[in-house]
Amino acid sequence: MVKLECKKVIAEDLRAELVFSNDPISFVGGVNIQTGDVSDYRHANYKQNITGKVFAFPFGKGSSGAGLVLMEMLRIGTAPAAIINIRTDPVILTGPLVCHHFYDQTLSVINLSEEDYAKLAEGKEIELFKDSDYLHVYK
Amino acid sequence: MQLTDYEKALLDGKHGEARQMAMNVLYDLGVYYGVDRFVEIVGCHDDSTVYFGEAQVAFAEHLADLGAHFAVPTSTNAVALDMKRWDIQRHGSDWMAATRRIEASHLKMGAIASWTCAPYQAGFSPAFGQQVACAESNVIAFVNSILGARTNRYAGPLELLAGIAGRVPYFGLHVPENRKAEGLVVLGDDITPDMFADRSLYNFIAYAYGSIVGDRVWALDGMPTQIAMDDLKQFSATAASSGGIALFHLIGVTPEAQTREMAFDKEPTEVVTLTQAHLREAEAELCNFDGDGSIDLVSLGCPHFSCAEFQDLEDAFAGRRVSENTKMWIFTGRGTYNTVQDSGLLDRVKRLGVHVFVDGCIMEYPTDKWGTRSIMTNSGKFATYCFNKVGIHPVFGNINECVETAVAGKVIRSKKPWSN
Repeated sequence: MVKLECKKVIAEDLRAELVFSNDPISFVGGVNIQTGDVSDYRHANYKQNITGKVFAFPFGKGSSGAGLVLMEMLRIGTAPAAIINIRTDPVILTGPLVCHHFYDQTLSVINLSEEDYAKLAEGKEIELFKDSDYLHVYK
Repeated sequence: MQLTDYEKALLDGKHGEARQMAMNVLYDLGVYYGVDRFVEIVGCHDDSTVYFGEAQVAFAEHLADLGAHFAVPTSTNAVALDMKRWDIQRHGSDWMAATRRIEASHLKMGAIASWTCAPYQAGFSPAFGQQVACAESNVIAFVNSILGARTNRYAGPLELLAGIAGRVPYFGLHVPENRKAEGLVVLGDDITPDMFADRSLYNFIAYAYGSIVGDRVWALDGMPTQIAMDDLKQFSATAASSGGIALFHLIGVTPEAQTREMAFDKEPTEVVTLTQAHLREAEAELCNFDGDGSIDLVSLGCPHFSCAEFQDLEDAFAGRRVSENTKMWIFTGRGTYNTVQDSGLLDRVKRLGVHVFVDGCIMEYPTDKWGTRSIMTNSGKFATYCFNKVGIHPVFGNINECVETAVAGKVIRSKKPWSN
């Protein structure tokens, strides 16, 4: 187990499987809303399922429809349990923030330094804590 | 965070529940980015319009029911389909019904019925230095880079909340110091001025630029100084598709980079030369032409077609018509549609066999309803998303090649000077 210092935007206690890559993602076109599968054939996690997982990508790209996509995924239960980024721009943050305030739904959003992000590559599972500034990586 | 009395009152719910909820979300956003104050905006572009699912529809209705009203002029982005001719497009009535609910709730909140992803070509373009909140990735890139107005990459439905509150946390690209370029992309000597006669070059450079730069603010040196608005539109849309580009500087072209010194406040952190090899990579990503010449659909208007593009289209047809072996669909906004109708151009283009749709989005094309197997486009953005959204790897061509293809009923595409 490796302990990494993290910045929490929204967080709850959870432990889940990690889906990691160094490829940025556009949730519009990049993820199948109905199934939670990564659907961008150019993405390293193509065909992997992110539902209930900890989905790590360095930063978001492309369409600003990502907020609406994540809201719908939260509604129908295909959303990831958490997102880990190096940088989180408002496009990624919108869905989790709006759902947190309006619907009391939590999709954790966590930031790591670039150096620590690279350490996730070996990880299999991630554990997050609502009240800690560290996360645990299990290999 | 330093709040004005009005902002405190908004957060305390003294101006209604909708504004309070909007401020709560924006306040949290500000805390995340370590922001010390809000900044008022003068306009908003609402991109919560293309139908993704019930969550978005219910959310807008919830806001409208709470009595939410936009505090600033708010233009609306494209919706999924043509609100009058959706049946001709073979969209389902369920999508139309959802779109009507989106329309009703957004109009109830005071949105302007522009329904276009090129609002800056339809009378909704902020001035240099103005603070705005825009969603829709191409609009964000264009408004920041070409107009010099200031917005972050907002996503639906956050821009609705910004429009309702009339303000956003003062961070990111709202702050002038953050708009300076960090790194520099330089066009290599092997990309020569004569190559720009082929307008597809703007898309390939933009695709490569977005891939190199990712989500950062950089500058690009070596571009022609006189670039048509529609090529700047294509550049913005394509760079914001291959990357997370919110602001780019074209040295000698865009307003915050009239000189290289203006674009930077220190030496570039990194310099990358963009060469013909990058163009070949971009072309390989955007264009799937295997030599089988059949083409089912030529689809243009991503972002929405402009008046100038309608004229370019008519000129390129030179009196010829769309072949019976293919179809040509154009997507545009209502404003542009009405203008080209008034000038007689719309009827002339339609007589060439071209189908023109308003409001809707090219990406939502119902491939399965048409049995379409091949698509050609002049849009780098559409080409980027086409396989993921529509299920087809498209052929990419400039507007002239798209017209020649439509006329011939099979792909006509010239060999590019940068191709192997």
